[in-house]
Amino acid sequence: MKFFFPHQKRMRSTLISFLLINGVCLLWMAGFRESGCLAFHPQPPSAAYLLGTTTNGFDISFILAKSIIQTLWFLTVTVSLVFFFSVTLGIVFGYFCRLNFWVPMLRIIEIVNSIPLLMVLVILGYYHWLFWGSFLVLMLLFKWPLCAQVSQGLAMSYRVTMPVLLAQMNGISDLSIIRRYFVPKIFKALIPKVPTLAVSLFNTLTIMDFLGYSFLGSSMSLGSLVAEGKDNLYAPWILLSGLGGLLIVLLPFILLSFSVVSEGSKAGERCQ
Amino acid sequence: MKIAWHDSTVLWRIVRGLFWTLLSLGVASFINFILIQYAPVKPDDFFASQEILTTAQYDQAPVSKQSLFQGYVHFLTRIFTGDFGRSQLYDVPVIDVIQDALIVSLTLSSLSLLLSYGGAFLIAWIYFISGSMGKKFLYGALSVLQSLPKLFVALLLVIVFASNQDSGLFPLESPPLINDLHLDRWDLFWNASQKFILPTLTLFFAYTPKVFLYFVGMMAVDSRLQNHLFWRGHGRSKNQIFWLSESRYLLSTLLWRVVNDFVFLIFTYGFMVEIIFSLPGMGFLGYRAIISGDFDLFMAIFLLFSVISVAFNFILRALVPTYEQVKL
Repeated sequence: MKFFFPHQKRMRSTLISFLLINGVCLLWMAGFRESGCLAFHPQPPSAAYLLGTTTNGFDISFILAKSIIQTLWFLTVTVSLVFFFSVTLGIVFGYFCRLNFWVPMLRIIEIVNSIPLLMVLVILGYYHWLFWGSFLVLMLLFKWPLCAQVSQGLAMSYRVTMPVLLAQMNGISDLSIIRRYFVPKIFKALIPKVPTLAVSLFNTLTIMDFLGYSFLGSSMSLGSLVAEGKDNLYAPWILLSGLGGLLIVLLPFILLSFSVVSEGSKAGERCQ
Repeated sequence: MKIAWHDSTVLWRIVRGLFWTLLSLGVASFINFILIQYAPVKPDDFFASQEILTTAQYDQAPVSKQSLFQGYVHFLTRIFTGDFGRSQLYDVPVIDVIQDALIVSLTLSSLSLLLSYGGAFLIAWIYFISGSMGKKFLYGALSVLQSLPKLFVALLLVIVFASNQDSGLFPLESPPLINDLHLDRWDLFWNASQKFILPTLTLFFAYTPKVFLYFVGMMAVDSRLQNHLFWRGHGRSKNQIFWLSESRYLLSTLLWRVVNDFVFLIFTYGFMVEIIFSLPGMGFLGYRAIISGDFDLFMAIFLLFSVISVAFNFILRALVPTYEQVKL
């Protein structure tokens, strides 16, 4: 598993932040006592309601705690699946170049990119066909080009390097070469792409939430909180809490991007 | 080596490119067509718990008696004869609605793209001439800005400029009707351009970090570093090296991403920004077409998206022989 986490020391911050966010949210939810609707007007932040209430009188801190956990886990699972799928596809198409003659990957990417994903999602959302499973499948179908293209390029360049040619001449099977040589190298090289992928997926998720097509649980989600805040600017705590929630969900991925960058710059300094 | 147009490799490349472009367009539009055909189109029926009908069933059009493929061919024939249909939502020909929306979207995305490229280029210059601490700070700040959801950026701008509502600057809604007919050209221009300020700013803040990080990646390529060391060895300052060598290189590399950026800004970021700021562009129009079940309008927008994205890629592939090798 070492190749999945090439910068283990630096990635601790990402893991710790992930666990910390989950822990705090769970504790907050465990200690929460629902007092029902307060009134049909938003209450500003106070000792009783730390982040205030929504226009329907629901406690924003509880909504945040619940939706942050849901969104964070969903995002992590989706990012992992899309990343693994796209990198694997890229490696296969890069190593077995002949495949491109029958199934040209760049043309398929072009077709995928020429379908407006957000509009497809809105169609599905509007007619209640959007749930976490369909969203996941659509993300797999539409977001794989983000990493697959780079992964294919890397695999194509690695396959003409000396170690690979020697291994092929010595009769080592293709699967073994891919597993032992390509997968570790390409996964390492593409770890910096993970935050970009996460941001891209999160953008799609939040805009769907914002438009009112939330599918993560029955309660209010982060995007719908933000939408309510935008419609009620006279109660700025709603919008600010929603935006804060969005930042918290992205925090582990921002830390990951920092860790990869700082590791890269340290490596560069060592080389110099 | 000079490549002539009669060169068989060039011709072959163009023919092959055309074939794949047409195939891509065909597949993309067919997928879009299937999506629309099987989407129930009358929201009122849906919410009244009535039986959900597909577009074809609802209209009882000739399409419904045909197979899916026949329906698609029928639709394509209509498109090729220039008949895009009539928008149910606006009760005018679809082509008229799209023309107006396209102007808005093109203005928004061109402005944002130019500003983003300009901004990223200037920041790249500052990054290039600054010391290691400055570089770390700039890279970190722009990385965080890039990680922020675009919704976040747009709504922060809404909060910041909401206080300017009274002064008439940066309105979040359409400007009120003016009864005074003595408007000069400046007033007309200002009224029209006011709506673009916040969306353009959002796209600028969302896209500049992306382009900047791309520039940094380009500057960190081995050949550029060697070039940098070479000129430093000849006593040139960082500033001189940037304007003499790096700037040209960075601007030339924009060629590889300009098409994708443009399409992305129109249909992905533009879609979101237009909905948030109620700007009547393609994205907003597409959204309204979906929720009102306007089949012809929606299909035309889908098709336009596919055409723009695939055709631009084809043009670049035909003009630049190494386009795809660089993309890989």
